[in-house]
Amino acid sequence: MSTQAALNFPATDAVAITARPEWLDGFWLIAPTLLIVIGMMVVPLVGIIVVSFWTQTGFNIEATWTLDNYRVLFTPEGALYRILIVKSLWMSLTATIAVVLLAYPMAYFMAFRIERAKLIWIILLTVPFWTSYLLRIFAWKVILGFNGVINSGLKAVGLIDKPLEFLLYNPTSVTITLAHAWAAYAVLPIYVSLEKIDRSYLEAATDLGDSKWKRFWRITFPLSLPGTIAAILLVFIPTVGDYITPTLVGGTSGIMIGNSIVTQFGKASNAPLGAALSCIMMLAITLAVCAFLAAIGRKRLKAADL
Amino acid sequence: MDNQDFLNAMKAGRMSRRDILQMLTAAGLTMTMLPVGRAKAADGEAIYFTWEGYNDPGFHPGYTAKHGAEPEGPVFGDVEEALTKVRSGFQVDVVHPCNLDLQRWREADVLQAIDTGRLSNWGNLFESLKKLPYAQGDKGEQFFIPVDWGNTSILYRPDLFDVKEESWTMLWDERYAGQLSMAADATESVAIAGIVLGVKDPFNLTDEELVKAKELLVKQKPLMRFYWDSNSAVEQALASGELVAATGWNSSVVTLTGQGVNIKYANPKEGIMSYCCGLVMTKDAPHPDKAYDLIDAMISPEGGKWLIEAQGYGHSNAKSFDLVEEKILAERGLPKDPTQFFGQGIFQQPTLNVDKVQKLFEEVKAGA
Repeated sequence: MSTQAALNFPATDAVAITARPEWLDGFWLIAPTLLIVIGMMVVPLVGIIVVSFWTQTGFNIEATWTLDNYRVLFTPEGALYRILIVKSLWMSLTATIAVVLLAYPMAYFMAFRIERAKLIWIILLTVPFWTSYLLRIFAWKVILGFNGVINSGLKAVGLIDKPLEFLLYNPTSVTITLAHAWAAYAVLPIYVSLEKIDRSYLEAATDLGDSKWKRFWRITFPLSLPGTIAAILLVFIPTVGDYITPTLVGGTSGIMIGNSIVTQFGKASNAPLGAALSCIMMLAITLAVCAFLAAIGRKRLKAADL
Repeated sequence: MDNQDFLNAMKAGRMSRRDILQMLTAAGLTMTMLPVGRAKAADGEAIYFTWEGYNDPGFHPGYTAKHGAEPEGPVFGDVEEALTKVRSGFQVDVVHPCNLDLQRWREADVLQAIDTGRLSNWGNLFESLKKLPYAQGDKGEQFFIPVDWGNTSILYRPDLFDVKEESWTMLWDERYAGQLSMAADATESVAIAGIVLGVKDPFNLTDEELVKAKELLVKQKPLMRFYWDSNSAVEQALASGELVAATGWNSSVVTLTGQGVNIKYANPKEGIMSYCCGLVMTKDAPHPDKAYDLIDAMISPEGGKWLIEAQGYGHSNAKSFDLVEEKILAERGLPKDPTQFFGQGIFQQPTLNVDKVQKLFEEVKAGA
């Protein structure tokens, strides 16, 4: 099209535009995003759900509808998946609690104690995240390892003469690594919600005689809830499905459901079972999140303006 | 509309939102099309899909000499993953599976027969390796070109592990609880359990034997530090003394000895486990001619010399052994003729019931 045409809008064209319903304009505006979301998220998700109702023997996927993959979970054979599901939920719950407990003071410090150059602090916080996730896991392998930073440090100080073996290759090392890997995702939302708090509330509380602690529990904490909840969800949901961390630092006892799902798709060539396990995990996470939000209470969330 | 018009229109505020969106959409579409266009335009080198560490130029000297470029080398972590990728349309010319995996690759129907007449080095390869199970089709057509062969055995630290008799039971030695390791490989782990049980065919256990093998692996699990999934992981752990014994391959002996680590490669009384890996060509190989050049280069005596010296594995070309000093062969524990060698030990065989074995090992790992 030429600039000329853009300059001289014919009258008829203008009428056509006003006659078009407004929602259609909006639709065209979001269309590219919508396409990406449908193509990249909805279609694969529906694919996984569909495959989870099929069966596979060897290389052949049979497309007859069956609930067998879900039924397995309730048989003695499915015991290993039940154990892994519960274990994964538990491990990422511990990791989430650890992350939020660590992140809150960091966010608080950034929001209330830093006066100038907050941006530098935010950048400092994200520096470790400029490297790949895999490298950060390897870093923990180096820190917790047999001849790692902690062991050689303790040895040098003379506290131990044989390296501590319980540091690496167990569920705890998985939790530590996950907690570190997702820390920034927790600090930022909490920081934002703390930053938004109107400082005059705090002044008022002090004027009315609240102690520092009381002021925190009655004003700061409730008002930071939306950010804290966001942080909990941001860490909990992705960590349940992680399989790289357990592979690298989990050892024989630290594997999670993600590892089992990977095996189903790859080595065991049972994509339908893998898909069913993924669906079950999605359902389990949804239920866990709903239960959590219900426990927090709607009123509170509303008050906190989520 | 050329660039200048576009910028002028923007500056003058003469662009409607729709015009801008249109331009952006066009730009976006062009960007997505670009890589496709490029891939088609490029002639490209043979694509060699292999294990990490095997795409070294030394392994295919003739190819680079002829084409003046390296073959493309995507790598896989395990061969089942590679098969999944190839089956779902990942285009490669040559893949590097082992005899143990051949049955799966043949059944998946992703391979094309290789015209051995086009390989100048074919005549010098050991006969016994050419006819491994599933290497040939019903009409004698060749699907698998053997290249490298080696062992799976126990790597151990003689200074840390007090060994009375070299045996696969070393991996169950309770004195070294938490200091042992095996590969995170279902077929191999179950086969080792089968060897320890003394069954007839450790690669195809009966249902009864599978139950016993599982018990044995469950008993072993608390003794394991981890199940290793990369050569470097097991090598580092052995070097630091974190592990005192673990299953491993010939190349680890070369690496660790090179680092000055006191390491021994066991010759278990039940027999050492051997295997042979090689090359297959995919059905829709995009560069079949170059693929032939690559295969021929990899089974050349020079390629074999590199393999023996750098990695410590045996080669399928008998002539490659003449290029290597006797001393180096002895250091790597390699005989000149694999036929007799394989006869003494336990040669890995395709496992027919892979699903069952996988499931069993999964259950062991999950602790159920």
